Amino acid sequence: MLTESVASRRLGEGYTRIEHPSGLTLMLCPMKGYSTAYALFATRCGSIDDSFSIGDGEMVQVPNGIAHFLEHKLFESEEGDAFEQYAKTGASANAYTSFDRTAYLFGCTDRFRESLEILLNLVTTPYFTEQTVKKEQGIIGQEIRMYDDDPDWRVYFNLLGALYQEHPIRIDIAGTVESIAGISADLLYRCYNAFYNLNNMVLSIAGNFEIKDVVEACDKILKPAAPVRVSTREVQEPDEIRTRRVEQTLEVAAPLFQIGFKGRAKSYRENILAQVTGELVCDLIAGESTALYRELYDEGLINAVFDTEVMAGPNYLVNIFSGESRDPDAVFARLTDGVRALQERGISEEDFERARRAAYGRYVGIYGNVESMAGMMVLAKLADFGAYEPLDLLGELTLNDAQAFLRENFDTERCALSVVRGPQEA
Amino acid sequence: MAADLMRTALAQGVSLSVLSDSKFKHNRLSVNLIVPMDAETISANALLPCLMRKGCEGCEDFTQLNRRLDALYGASLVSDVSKSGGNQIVTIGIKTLDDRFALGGEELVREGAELAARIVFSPVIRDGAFPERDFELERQFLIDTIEAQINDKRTYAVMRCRELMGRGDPAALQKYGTAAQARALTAKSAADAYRKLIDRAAVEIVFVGPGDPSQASQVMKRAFAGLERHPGPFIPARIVGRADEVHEVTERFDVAQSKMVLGFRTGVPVGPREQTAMRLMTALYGGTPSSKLFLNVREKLSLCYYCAARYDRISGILMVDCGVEQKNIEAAKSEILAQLEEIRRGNFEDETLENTRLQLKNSLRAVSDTPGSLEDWYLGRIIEGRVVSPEQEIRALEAVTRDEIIEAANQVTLDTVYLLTAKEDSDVN
Repeated sequence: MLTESVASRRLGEGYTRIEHPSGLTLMLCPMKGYSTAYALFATRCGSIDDSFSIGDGEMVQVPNGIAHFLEHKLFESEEGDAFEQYAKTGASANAYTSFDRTAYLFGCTDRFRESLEILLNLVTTPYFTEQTVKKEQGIIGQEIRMYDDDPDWRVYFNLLGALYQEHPIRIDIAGTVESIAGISADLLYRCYNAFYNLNNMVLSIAGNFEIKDVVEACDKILKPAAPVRVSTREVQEPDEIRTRRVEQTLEVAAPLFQIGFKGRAKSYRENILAQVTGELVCDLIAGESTALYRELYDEGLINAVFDTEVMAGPNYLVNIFSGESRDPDAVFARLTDGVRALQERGISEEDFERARRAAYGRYVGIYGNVESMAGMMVLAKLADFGAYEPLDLLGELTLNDAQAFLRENFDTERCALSVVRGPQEA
Repeated sequence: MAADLMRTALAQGVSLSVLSDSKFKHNRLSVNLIVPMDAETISANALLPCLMRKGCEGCEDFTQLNRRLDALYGASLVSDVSKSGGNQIVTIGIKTLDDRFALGGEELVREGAELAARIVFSPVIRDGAFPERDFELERQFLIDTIEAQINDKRTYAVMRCRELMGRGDPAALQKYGTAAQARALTAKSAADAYRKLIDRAAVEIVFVGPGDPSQASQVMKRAFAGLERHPGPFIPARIVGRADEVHEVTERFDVAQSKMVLGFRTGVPVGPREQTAMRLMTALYGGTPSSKLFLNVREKLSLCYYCAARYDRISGILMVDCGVEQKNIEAAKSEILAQLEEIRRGNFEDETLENTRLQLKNSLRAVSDTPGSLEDWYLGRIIEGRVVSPEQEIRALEAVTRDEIIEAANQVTLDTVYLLTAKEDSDVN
């Protein structure tokens, strides 16, 4: 069993990475003093994985929303719902699907070993029949319709749809009522066999537990799997955006907006690490410490819910500014002007240093929380970086790095505005 | 594990509570200004944290203040209003990186405490008024927040039911006050309210983290030294033990799905042991995915989209809230009451009881894992006047017997049925 200790010099702590004989990678960070153990069992299979091939086989196209569908179906077994099993151990459990991954999780303060065994069994015992698939199509269909009415969700996906022409990131994670109608038990098994091979997965645990218990549970439950090579479709996304402005009418008190800049995507690893620099640059453009934020706020164009965010993954990188405004178009114009002005005059050394410190302090916090630490280790394995790399990167980041990010990833020709407003104002 | 709570008095009406815990990477310091809930001053006090967050001596405007926070390694400032029992709480808090991680060896506990003290004691007030522009914007934001409460019908219905059950007790009013009150404020009256708050508030300072609390305590002690203040006592909520009759209130809105809230009284003011039994009874009744309400009203009979029970020991009120189609309202109500009757008769499995107990213990143990939840836990109990640790509460929970749960269920009486439903009177015949 290959065991590696990964330490952070800055924090004076570390985690253990184990390649288990079953093929599974274990990322384990016992954290002294914490009561909770938080475990994530994850695979690099997200909503964007709409086609794949195994080995040298041909590319299989699967319906949009299948990763999320699979997550729902795995959460129940022949013995019933996973919640019922976890109820007996007192753990709180859940699962989620995002663009680039699916994860099954629980948190507990007691009876860790039992909960872990439930988790390992759950994910490694698929059980799908045509009948249960039919039933799930109804349930997920309702969930999709509920999201269709959710203003925050719509303003977000409308933005992605405006920025991206081909990338499946533009499609709702749950798919559409039409696309999930095409899902069958057979397709679920094919998808499962490709993406749920232990060699492509990670078990990440942080907090109150012992490494020995995890290894024992894995030895007991996991059957060694022959490695498979899964290739996903290489997305051919044009540089250009689809459209610069998109608007939808829904029941909202104040109009919502999201403004996105389509960045220059590189490798998965590079995009995830670039996110750190991106967050800092977003702060320098319109964070609470900037003159631009102050002007927009004082003119009543934005309020305290204004926020910035960078979203990154395989073949995508987007910088997002979101909030509520009575005049989203004015915010859009001012923000793009602000970006151009900053690009022309350059970031000052003083502003950069302040933003770097702020980001550094926030990132240290990630490593002091069991949930965020477990999440960071999952991403580290899937996107192939060390879990402390983001912090080290901030420790050494230079003004030039930030300037380069600002030049490359804030093209005012490659940005869009998404608005959702109430019927009375439309 | 967190150390025990250490409490010291810093000045008259000013206490410091310290929870030292070496596992955290940040220190959290909060200054809580606590005054009685008073219909006249709720909105003004609700506005103050927003105005105080705009700037202070040395950081005269919002931008300068935020730049200072950035320089303190992204310190985050908490400015909030909340309530507990009959008390309104204005909180100014700061979370700073622990000194041992500071890249330049700064003393962040001290610097953070100094900034917090300036925000509390030296906000930007000129000629007896807050800056007009800041005032206008923040008042409008408060009005928008109050008016937007109706957007979330589930929360709104629970709040209305609580208000109705208060029968005029200020403890039952909502923490932001009303839009009309907020509109009546001026930049000058807000500054008057600020001075009154500083004069009358009982102050609870809470420090959680790995850092040296004496750094924070010295700063705060200095800040309060020599101040002539007139703090009052904490006010408990008025507890009504039993309902004499059922009050039914219906309000109509433009909604597709109705919301129903059943408000219960849970007996005369009781001791900690009975409260813990009531808490476990409530979880068994409708607090978990394996509870009576979830399994029967929602899953088995599909009468509701959600149906959950919650118990507030401070007001002695238990509430069941559900989302229900209009045609199912009566059926849902009788099933909710029937499930309570089941517990009264002792019709619940031992296994379900133990699973429920386990889940509650799980969430109690998790309290010590974040500075924020520790602070909430202890501040709430300090104001209540009875400080117990999560570990003590776990032991109390372990001691609750089946009979005590049945006894708790028998204390519960229905007081109010609040219904938020569609405008068109399309009652199903």
